[in-house]
Amino acid sequence: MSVFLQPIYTQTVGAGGTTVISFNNIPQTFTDLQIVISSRTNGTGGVRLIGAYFNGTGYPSNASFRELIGNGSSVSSSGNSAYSTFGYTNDASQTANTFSSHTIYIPNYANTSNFKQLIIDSVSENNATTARQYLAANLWRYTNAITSLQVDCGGEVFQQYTTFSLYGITKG
Amino acid sequence: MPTVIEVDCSTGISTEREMTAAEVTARQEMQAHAEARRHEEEAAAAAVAEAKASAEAKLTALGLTAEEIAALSK
Repeated sequence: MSVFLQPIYTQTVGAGGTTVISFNNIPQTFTDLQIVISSRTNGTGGVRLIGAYFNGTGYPSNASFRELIGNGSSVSSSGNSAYSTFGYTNDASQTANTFSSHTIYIPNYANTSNFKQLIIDSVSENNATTARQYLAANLWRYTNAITSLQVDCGGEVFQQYTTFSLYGITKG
Repeated sequence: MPTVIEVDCSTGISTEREMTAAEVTARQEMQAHAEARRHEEEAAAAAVAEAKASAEAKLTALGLTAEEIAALSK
């Protein structure tokens, strides 16, 4: 059982915004990783996904996910064999000063024998009918240890006060 | 120019730089995926709205009032 959560780093986006955040040289001494994101972008579509990839390799071909999405009026599920996302980010079309929340858990990230699993739980915030909750399980079919993590928001810019926090979890 | 914030977790130093070509490609892939997802959602919503309008028209043709049709979905 994992009993100890240690902050590794928190990055807050400044006034100029940014398109990608990259955590490099992730310590290999923990058992699991957890990423917590509070996000808002400059888009206007209201359905922009946060994407991620590891070790600077670009989006992987050997990945798959199964997701469950609620948008305030309906529920849907889908799967894909080539992509992983961290859920829907808030953007400029949603209530001012609101941010989406995302938690991503990655067990055994430093192991070099197992494929990498991601458990994703995220929700957008909006004072309107449509706001999205996103639950997903991802599998990255690579045995490489995760040493870096890149987070992108698909053609948009993460806005000021967006935060990315990386935590390490040590088993008891 | 798109930028990247790089955090070195071993030193705690954060720097900002312009994106590399590989990162621009990855970003374009993500953008295409997000657009496709957006179009899928919009198409699904449009299909539901169209089906609802069709059903309401058929119910009206059967003689139901607008109030009776609305009551069916409550």
